[in-house]
Order: sequence, then structure tokens, then C-alpha cells
Amino acid sequence: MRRKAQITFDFLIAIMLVTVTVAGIVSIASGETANARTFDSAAKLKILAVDLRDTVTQVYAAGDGFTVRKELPFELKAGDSVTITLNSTTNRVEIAATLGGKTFKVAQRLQVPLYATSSITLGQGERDFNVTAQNVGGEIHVLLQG
Amino acid sequence: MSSSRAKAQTALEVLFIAGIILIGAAILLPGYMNTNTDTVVLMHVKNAADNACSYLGTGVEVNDPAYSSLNAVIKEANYSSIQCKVSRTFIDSSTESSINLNVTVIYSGPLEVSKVKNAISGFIENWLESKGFSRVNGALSYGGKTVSITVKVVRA
Repeated sequence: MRRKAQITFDFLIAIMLVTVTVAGIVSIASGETANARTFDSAAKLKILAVDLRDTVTQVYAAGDGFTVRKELPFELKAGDSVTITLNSTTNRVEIAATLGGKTFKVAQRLQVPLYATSSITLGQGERDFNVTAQNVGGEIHVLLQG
Repeated sequence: MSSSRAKAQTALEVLFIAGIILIGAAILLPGYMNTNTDTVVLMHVKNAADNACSYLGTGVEVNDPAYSSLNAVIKEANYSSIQCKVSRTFIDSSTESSINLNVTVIYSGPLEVSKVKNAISGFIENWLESKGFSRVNGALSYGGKTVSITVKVVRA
């Protein structure tokens, strides 16, 4: 009986030391999950931007009337929105997104010329959009359509 | 009568043993807490540096005050990803009242070293402040220790 009490006592001290260490690790880990989610969204948007850059090049090369249907790599929930712009001034594909209350912005330089700026905004439940090439007065315009 | 005396003797014994255990714990604790503080600070700094690098790697701007210093660098790099990795994070020196850490980051790209350095050290300090580090007279402090971080940035 007496022995048992002794063991519990130093065991308690050992547990206390372990708890101090674990508390430190838990505080780091809890912050990490929120962070990992942000990075997940950021990485997906980056992939979308690179994919769109390649798609625009492909559509431009294929010429008049060619259309590629693209799909977002994630689902948009209530309050989320994604705006994709083909900007002819900066010659970039620009994506601005609001996902889970956070605003993301990413851009990719295009290797083909854009003659017209076109833009599309996707909201909750929307996922698809078209990338279309149109011949306007001898110039191939690459446009985004819903 | 004799049985009650025996009981008192053992109680004294237990007190004695408990005393030895308590003294042992008292000797052990400060050193343990000191090492634990160092480890927690190192983990936080390592984490912050890794996050800064993976954030620069994605090249996506997140509109959050925590990332504001890194966003300037991303904008300057035209949203292209900046190849960046943390090569080493270590405790340079640690005393009872202060701790010095060194972080070495290697990156490649056209950006200036000083700009990347300012962005990363600014981000790490912001990050630590949001993780329970306090500011005492402009210096970061954790668990009663003054934390100073030296960021070294090398262009590969």
C-alpha cells in the first residue's frame, strides 16, 4: 500500500514534465492545421493558373472556333468566388479568389498575345467555363465564356 | 501502544522519501523548463521559416496581414514562384534570460538579397507574435527569455 503511493507520486512528477512538453507541441500543431488549409487552396489556385496559361496557348494555336471547357479543381462553397481575367494590358492570366473568407491573388504571364481583356466570375455551385478562340479581323482573340 | 509507535516511524520514513523526491524534482525542473523553452522557441522559428519559404514557393498572394511582408516580394517577382528553402535553423546561444537563433535560407531568382531577407525576418517576427510571443521593449520574448533571430539569406 505504502509502495504504491510512492510510485504514484514520482510518476505524477514525470507526467507533469511530459505534459509541459506535449502542451508546447499541441500549440504548434493546432496552428499548423489552419495554415495547411490556406496553403492547400493557394497551391490549387497556382495549379489552375499554370493550367490556364497552357490552355490559352493551346487554344490560341488551334485557332478560330476552338473551345476548351475547363473545370475548377475545387468546389465553391457559400461565400466563395473566383474571378479569372485574361488581361491584355499586362498580358497575364490573373486569378482573384475568395475562399473561406481569405482573398487569394495569383497571376501567370502568357506566352501568346492577348488582344482583348475578358473576365469571368464563378460563384457558389459554378465550376465550368469555356476558353474560346475567335478570329476578329485576322487576330485570334482568346476569350473566357461561362 | 507499540503498534502506534511503529506507525509513526513509517510515516516519518515516507515523509523523508517524499522529501528526497521533491528535492530531486526541484533540482530537475529549472533545467528541464529551460531546455523546454529553447525547444519550443526553436520549433516555432523553424516552422515560421518553413512557412515563409513554402509561401514564396507557391507564388500566390494571400490577403492576410500576417503575410503582408512576403506579399511585397511576391508582387515584385510577378507572382512567379521563388525557389526557396531553409537550409539550417539552430540555437546559437542560450542563457537564462536570452536566446539567439540563426536561420539560413537559400533562394534563387532575380530578387535582391536584402529584400528577401527583410521580408522573411519580418514574417518570422509577425508569426511569432501571433503564436504567443510577447514584445518587451521592441524585442521578442518567450517564457521570460529575450528571443533574437538572425536571418541569413543566400542567393543560390
